[in-house]
Amino acid sequence: MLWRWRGSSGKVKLTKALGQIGYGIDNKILLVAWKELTEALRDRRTILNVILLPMILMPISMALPLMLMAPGGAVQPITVMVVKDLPSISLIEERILPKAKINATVIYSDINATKWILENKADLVVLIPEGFYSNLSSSGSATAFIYYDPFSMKSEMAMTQLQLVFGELSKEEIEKRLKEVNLSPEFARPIQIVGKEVSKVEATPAAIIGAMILPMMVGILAVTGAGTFALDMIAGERERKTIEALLTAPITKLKLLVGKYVTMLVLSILSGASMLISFLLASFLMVNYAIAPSFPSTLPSGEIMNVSFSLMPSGLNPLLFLLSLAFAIVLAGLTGDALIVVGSSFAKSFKEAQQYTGVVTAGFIIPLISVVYLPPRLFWPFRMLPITSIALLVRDVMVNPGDKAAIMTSSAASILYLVLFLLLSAKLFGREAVVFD
Amino acid sequence: MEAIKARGLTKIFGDLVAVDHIDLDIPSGVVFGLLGPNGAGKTTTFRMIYGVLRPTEGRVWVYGHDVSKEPVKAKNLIGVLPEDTGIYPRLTAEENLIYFGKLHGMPETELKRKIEEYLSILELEEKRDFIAEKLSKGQRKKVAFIRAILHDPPILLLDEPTSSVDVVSARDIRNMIKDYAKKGNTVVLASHNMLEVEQLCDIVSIMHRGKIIHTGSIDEIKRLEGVKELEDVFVRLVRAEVF
Repeated sequence: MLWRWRGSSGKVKLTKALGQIGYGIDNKILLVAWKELTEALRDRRTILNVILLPMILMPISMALPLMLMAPGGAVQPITVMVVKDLPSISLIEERILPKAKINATVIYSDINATKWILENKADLVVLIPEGFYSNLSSSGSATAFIYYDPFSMKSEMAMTQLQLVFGELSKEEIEKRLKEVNLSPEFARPIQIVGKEVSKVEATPAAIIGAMILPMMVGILAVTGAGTFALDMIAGERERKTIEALLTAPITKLKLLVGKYVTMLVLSILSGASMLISFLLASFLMVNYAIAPSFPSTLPSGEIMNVSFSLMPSGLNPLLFLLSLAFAIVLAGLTGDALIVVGSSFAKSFKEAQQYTGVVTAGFIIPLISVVYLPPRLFWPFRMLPITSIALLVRDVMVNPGDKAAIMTSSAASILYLVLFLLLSAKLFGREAVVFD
Repeated sequence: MEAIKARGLTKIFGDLVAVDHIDLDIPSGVVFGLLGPNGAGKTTTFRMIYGVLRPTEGRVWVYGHDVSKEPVKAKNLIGVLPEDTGIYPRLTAEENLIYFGKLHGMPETELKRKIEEYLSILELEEKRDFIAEKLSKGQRKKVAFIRAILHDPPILLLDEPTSSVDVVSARDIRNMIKDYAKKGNTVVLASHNMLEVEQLCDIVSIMHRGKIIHTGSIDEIKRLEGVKELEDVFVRLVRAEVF
């Protein structure tokens, strides 16, 4: 039983005004769009699938777990420092714990670290054995043991943070020892590796996340956007046997279809906007409340950690970026809807249409997902595949804005497929054999 | 000019000849009944007249407009009540009427007036804001009937207008059909209800296995078949189908 915005008796209250708008619409295409939109907005699947689900899914599935586990979050790793070496206390309390940004319980008695982790009493245990400080101060080698669970994200996060801090401490100690024997720090760094970022735009953490996720999301929008409604508008109309009465009205099938596409487009844009808001929110939360607090403010090299929160790669025109994204969302929405109309044209029921379109769309989604794992030099043939071309268009605009040939190829292929699927859907819509057999 | 004229109208679905070269001449201003047992070809004939099925052979004209060549003009002259009401379940009764009224190009003021008038006649005023799926079968049929006559078409095609409808609603619909015909409009009715047919129709055609086997007034058909009741003609056909 579907939930709709109405009283228990079935009397329409909240959406009554929407229905009354119909009196003033004289254009038949807009009239069809009005009717479809009114019906869609009274269906709980609209709100759930098109707006709410995309908006809450990403922040909840991606950002929330990381935020909760980040320093200051609600479910930080339970870290236990077992200090068996009393002279190390000040070193731990002053130089390790403040930089590690983790709340660790320091205990001075011996515990069974393995048992504590396996029994979930702690996510990570650091053992500072006796002689740690004396070894360190006598130019020897001090060893600390970290017990962690590689299958636990909380444990892994705490481990990463502690490795960074101990690494920094180790580096400081090397420099101090070298200074004592009048050697420069370079003495202990015979080979230095300096990473040089090579990209046409500045790769900020948020932009890297964006370039990885956003293209695929726009591609997937082709199926998830207004897909349910596209199915309902075509196969549902047949299943509820409303198509016959509709076809008796003086309106051409083409106008009917265009009217339905107008609604599908509105719903796809709503879905795309919801997805974008969701993505921005998830990125903002992840960068600000999970990534940034998890790293020490200074890197072992002494470099100040600079976390940029900008989703959009710098050097890109924001307006051009947003317009390209909107263009890709419209392309993806309409292409997916046209494919669904084509698939639904062979089905007599909603369920049958779901099965047909599921097979068709799966064929387009597989290259979309696999392209992420390919090196960019192999993107060319994928730029000419339906739907994947739209995802690569978004990626090219984000990380490769100077490559006009790539952008033009992806755009041209995407538009070509859209036109092809729209024409095919117009040819197949309202087929007599399916409607009246 | 005939309201509806058909020549050699044929529809074949695969191996099945649903309608087999029928000719129709339905004069303007009459109530015409198309009778026949299930599978006789009535609904298929209707669908070809109102232009949702393309004939395999033959042609249909609605006030001189070829339905295949000028479908929009022909559809403007027709009001249809299909066997399945085709009411949108998530729209209210009023919204269903707005949609079809506007599709027929009705201006806002006239549409509002007509909706008020017909909802009042069929006692549906209180149900206008109700989602159609919450209406009873009879109420949905009434809404579909209003939808068919809303734009004041000169021809009304009604496929089983009172089937699955309670007695009171059926009587209301029959009264509306009578009133509509009195205004000089043409009504074409497909029905299994012989009493209804006798009560409403001026001329009837009897279809059997895709062909028209009799056309005339009810009295003429009774005389030809040598029976007292129209129902007897019908029963004879059905029995012939079974045995």
